Amino acid sequence: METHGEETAKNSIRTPRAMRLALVLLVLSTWLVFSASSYASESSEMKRVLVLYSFRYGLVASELLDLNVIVRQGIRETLKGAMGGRLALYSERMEASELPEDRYFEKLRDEYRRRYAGQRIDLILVVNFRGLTFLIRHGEEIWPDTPIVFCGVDMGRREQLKQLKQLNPNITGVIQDSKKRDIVETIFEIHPDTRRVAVVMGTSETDQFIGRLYREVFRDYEDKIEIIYMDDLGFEKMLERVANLPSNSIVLYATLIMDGDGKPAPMNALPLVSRASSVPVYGELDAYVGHGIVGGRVNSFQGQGTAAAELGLRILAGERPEDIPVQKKYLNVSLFDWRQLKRWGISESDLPQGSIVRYRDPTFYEIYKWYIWGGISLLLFETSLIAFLLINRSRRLRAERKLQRTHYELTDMFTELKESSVELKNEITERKQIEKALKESEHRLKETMVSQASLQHEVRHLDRVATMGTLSAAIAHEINQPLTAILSNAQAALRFLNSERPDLGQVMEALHDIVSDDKRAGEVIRRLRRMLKKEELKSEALEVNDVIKEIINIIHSEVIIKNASIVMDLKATIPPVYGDRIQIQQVLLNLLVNALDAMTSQPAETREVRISTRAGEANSILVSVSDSGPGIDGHNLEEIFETFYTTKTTGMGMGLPISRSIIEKHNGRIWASNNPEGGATFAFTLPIVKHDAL
Amino acid sequence: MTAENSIVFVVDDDPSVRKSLERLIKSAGLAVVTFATAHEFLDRHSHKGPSCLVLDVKMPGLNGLELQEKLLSQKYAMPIIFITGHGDIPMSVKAIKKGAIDFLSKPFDEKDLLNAIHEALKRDSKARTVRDEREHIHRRLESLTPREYEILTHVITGMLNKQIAYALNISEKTVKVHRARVMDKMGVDSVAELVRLTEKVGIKPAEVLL
Repeated sequence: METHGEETAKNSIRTPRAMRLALVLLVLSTWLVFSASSYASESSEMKRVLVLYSFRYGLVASELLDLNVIVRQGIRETLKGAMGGRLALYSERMEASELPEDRYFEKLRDEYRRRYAGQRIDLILVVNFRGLTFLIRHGEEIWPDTPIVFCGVDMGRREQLKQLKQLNPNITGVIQDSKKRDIVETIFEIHPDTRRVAVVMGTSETDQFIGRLYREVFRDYEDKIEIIYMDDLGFEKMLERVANLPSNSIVLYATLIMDGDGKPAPMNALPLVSRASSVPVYGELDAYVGHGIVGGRVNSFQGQGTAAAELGLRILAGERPEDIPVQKKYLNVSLFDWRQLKRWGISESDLPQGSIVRYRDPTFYEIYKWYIWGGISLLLFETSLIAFLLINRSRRLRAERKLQRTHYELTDMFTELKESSVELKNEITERKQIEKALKESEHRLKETMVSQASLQHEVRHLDRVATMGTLSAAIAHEINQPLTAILSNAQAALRFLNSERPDLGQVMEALHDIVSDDKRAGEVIRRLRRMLKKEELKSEALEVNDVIKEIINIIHSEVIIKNASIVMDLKATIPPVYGDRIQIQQVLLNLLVNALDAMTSQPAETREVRISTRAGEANSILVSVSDSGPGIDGHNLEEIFETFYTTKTTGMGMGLPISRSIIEKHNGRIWASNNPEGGATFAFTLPIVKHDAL
Repeated sequence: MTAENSIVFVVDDDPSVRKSLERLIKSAGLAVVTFATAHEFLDRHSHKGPSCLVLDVKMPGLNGLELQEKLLSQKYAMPIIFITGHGDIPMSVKAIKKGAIDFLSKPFDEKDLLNAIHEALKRDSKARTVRDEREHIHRRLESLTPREYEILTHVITGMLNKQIAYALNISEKTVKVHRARVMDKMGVDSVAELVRLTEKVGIKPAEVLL
């Protein structure tokens, strides 16, 4: 119903020439449908549907306004949409006639019998009560047993329909509940202060039928509002009347087929009435919208067609018409003509909610959009140009003033400069002397640095000695163990020898053990000496894991004394590094001693040091020493590598700085971090690749 | 001087020390079993005869002093001789106070160790004898009926049958029957012998007003 494509077409074709063109098209399309269907009639699937239009001409102004056409839109869209090419659509139109209705019907009957002789029709759709009356009387004579679906019949004809249906059960259809009351109430909603309603109506049967329906509705308003029924006026008089209506009046255009003088109304009766009227004209059909009425809650004839076509489809699909009860449809829509709203100054906000407004003219803005925007842009451009120029001007003035000031200042400065240049010359001489002195001291510094390198060597040695000092108890223990074994073995051997029958095998075993224990003690001492000696730097390929195992031997007793344990997690397949064994052991020793010291306040069973090796990033080996101590304060993580920084009560506080200098000399990196599970980890990297940095 | 079935246990984490001690103790004609850790010793040692323990103080895991504590908390304590590579005085005092036989610093002379071992075995042997005798007496006492036990506590006061009968308000004949059964069950022939036995397990004579 609200297909606007059709409406737009209407909107654009309003000239007489366009109307002629549309007529031609209509005829052409009817012929096309007809010829196409005669081709297709061979197919058994093909359904042949006849539509009988019976609205009279003269009801409204033009063919485009013809109710038949409006209904046809609904019928055709629905049928074609559902059946496509399997549909042969015939249409017939009952004309207005000078003949009495009975005679006209008989004439029509003879014509249709001739035209449809020997042709099967599957379904007849009849539009309006007039056509239905014709079919009831003569249908069987032309198209026996063909089901009939009607539409475009007003609710007011319900009683008549009941009788007709009894005569022929092969009929069903759609009654339109046009609800004249709705139409009237909508008018009063828009114009609450209406005092007078002039009803345009005629004297034909249909005119009077529709008029009666309005009379019924207006009966409830008669005490408040003056109702003028104009069925007693000739058309000319009627125009005069509507032209002279006072304000607070409304014209309601019902139907006008035949005027009060018994003359058929002109084709363009509605536009003429609208043009003449001094007050807004309302009407009751969607077909009227666009031809002079403001609009209203109008009956949708297109919807009628759609509803009827849907019933028709059910019958074509096999349902029997006597099984389908007559359907009552309320198909009114709120439809308005924008031009009329403007003409009478009616605001869109006064219309019922959900109203459709058609024929909207383009607004001033829509027409002149580009000019408006162009103007605005030009205006903006000029405004900003002016603003720019103004700002520029004031800036220039300010700059000029500033320049003036600067000029004076510069002049002053220049004078001062002249004076000071003498001083400057003196200063330059002085500076040259200083530079000379500096050069001399730099030279001395270089000499100092050379001696400092050997000092660093010295410090590293001192650190080793100090660290070993803290391990003295452990070292004593480490030597004591083999000594104890040696002594016990020796004394046992003596006892065996002193017995009456000496067991020489036992003695031999004891002596063997003595030898190996002695070697073990010797190894401990050798390791100690290596650590304590001021050795020459010696770079060699080192298996890091071996270096670590050796240092673990040195620290083994310290671990036991400290009631801790060491876990070695050494990756077997790491390549050797290049470096100085003693120095790397010094670093490891520092880290291990620190780790053990860090855990002295922890419960004995949790004291664990984990030393691990991994392949690190970028061709390096990563060695890490983790403890389960309290960890390091976050802000100390960097400082701990600074000289003399210590949290311990013993020690020089040199261990970590020295370790860092050693690792950095090896082109490695050393850092500390706290473990998520507690404790600290010290890690360092050593490059795999050979280098001569030492 | 030392019982045939005595045994010396050695716990030291250092294998060469362990091995040398085993050899030394063996050379003195003593049976010896060694363990590398305190836990191993606790789990596996068992011996019914006199025994003692040569124990290293510093060991990974459970150390010597902790093991001593554990043994003390058990029913009877095995005599312990501590050996240490770096013993300090407070530590040794603590150990001796808790009943250690000796506290030897490594390296030690065989005489010191073996003397301590003999001393320890002797003490353990004696303790075992006392304990065994007590257990023997307790077993016999447990075989007495309540009435017999009552008679026993009166007998060891030196009371005559007549006096006991009067004190317990029973007939002299009944006392005589019970008394004979007590002497028989306790395996003694004289009251003096019975008194000695009961003294050993601390049974007090009945307090009777004569």
